[in-house]
Amino acid sequence: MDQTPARPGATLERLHASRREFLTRIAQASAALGGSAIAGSAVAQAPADAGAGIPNAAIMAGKDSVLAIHSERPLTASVPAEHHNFLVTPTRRMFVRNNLNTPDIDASKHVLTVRGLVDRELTLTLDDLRKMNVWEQQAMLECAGSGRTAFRPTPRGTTWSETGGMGCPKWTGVSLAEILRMAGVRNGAVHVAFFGVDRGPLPTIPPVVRSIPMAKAMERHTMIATGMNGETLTPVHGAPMRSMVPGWVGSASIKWVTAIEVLPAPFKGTYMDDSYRIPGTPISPGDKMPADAISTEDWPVKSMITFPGPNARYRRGQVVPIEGRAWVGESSIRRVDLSFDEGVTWQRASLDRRGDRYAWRRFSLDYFPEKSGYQTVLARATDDRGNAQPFLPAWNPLGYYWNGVHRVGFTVEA
Amino acid sequence: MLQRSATRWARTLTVLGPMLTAVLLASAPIGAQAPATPEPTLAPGPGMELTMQRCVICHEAQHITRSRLTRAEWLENTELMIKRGAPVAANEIAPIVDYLFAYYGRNDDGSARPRPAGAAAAASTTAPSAGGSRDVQTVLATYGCTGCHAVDRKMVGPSFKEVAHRFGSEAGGTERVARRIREGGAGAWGSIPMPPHPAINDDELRALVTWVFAQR
Repeated sequence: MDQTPARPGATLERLHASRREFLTRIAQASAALGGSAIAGSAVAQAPADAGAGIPNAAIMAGKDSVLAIHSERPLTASVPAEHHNFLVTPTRRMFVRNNLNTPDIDASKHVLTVRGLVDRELTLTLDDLRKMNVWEQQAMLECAGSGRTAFRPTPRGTTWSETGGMGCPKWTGVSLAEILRMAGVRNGAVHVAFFGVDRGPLPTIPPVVRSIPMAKAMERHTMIATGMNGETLTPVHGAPMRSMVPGWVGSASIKWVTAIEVLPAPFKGTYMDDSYRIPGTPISPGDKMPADAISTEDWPVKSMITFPGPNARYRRGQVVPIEGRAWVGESSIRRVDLSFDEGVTWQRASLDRRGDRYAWRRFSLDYFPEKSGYQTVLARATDDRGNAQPFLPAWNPLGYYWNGVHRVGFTVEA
Repeated sequence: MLQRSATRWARTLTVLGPMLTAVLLASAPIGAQAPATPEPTLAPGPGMELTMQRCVICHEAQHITRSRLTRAEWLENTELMIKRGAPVAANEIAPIVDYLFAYYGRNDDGSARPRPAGAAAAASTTAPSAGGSRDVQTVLATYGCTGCHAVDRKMVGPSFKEVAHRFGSEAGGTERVARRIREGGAGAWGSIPMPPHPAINDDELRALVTWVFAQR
């Protein structure tokens, strides 16, 4: 956990400069058309129209081709386990989950307001944050619905594949606790809400607002992040600043954050009351959300096999080097076990040394197949509270918290 | 999809320069910018146009076509989208949920529901009030145009008259409006995007633009 200083936001400013240049050329081109009204689909995407935001194509140009797009409106995309065999998730492979459009924000004009139950209201710029205690941590971010399509019946919502709606990059930022202490949290504070500036295509669409309990807000790993993997945040990941609530469902981490509000109760709004909720007690698959629903918070213990990919082929006598990642929201990984007989017997994988508090851990095992033909490997992680991954997690109407045992097939040729 | 073609178009502009671009604009036939992989539309049937109109401003049709939900789930989802700003009137909920459950439903026990037979014949029930040939009425209904546009008043999008006044007498106006219909976009009239209609064919597009420009 290095106390690294923030790097200057060169990338973002370059991006804005190139967009300005682009607009100038479009304007010149239009002038050549005889002074007619600027039209055509290129101009339709101009950032002068803030509501439309940054086009998906411009975002995907900064991503690897293995990032599978699940939807265009809003943009959601992820990389499955076999393309995720990195110790630190590269920005080009970090998943994308927008609720609305990707805003095109002028970082130099962006302001973060801190308000509500505080002694002093604050308005902080990106430069203000850079003068505070900026530090870096590797930490998990995973969408609550990651793995949703593995549930049966499949609940509605973004069609996340069994693996991939998550990543573990390095985040640069300031602890939210430092900002809240600067503002002075008053008695009666219960939740802290984050407001995003992203907007949808219609004025009737409410902004994205989520709140988290005070204890998590004051925990030092919860940060207002301004960078990812040593670079300035890219626009689709929340530039110029976002909340980063490590280990918790991704919706707790609000991109393009423009306000932090200290509240006497959880925020009331559609992203709190209608989504990101699970039954308080398990229900029968297919049933409606019961009245005792509770908000999703920290992720249960989970793992994925990142190598080999599906249906790899090996020769008899060749070693199969199994590798994967294991993580949990608010505990630590105790062990990861692998099974080569569909869960009848298990053998312990070796686990890399623990890194940052909320980072995933690599596990590995060299497997020497004794028989030829198609076979499978299953991975099951156990946390320090004794919770292990189930084969089939509890079904819930919105398909959250999928943490079923991951299974990969491979073939050993005779 | 619309953004991809927009970027391609932008690159063309930047690379070839203004003069050549002007030539290209003037000579480009309708349909020259057709995307390689068109967005699918919903299955034709009663309620399809209304459902398209209300949903595709914010979501491509795949959000629906890839789903199989129970009636209760479709109702719950529709109500959630209304809370999230979808422009659905109270009396439109039932026909939308009926359509979604009929074509993209699953039974309460999880089993698949067969699609209604002969559904295509039942499509295209709405028609604009301002006349026009049967062909144009079919086009307007099939692609859900009248969900967002009226002849002489602004709804979600500009009126057909406004479009005709602004682009009808302009050089290259036909191509411009045609491209906007097929590829969608935003910015010319405000921030609400026009959804792309990649399935529209050249004949339909030509008939539609001609009819729109006749509304001046």
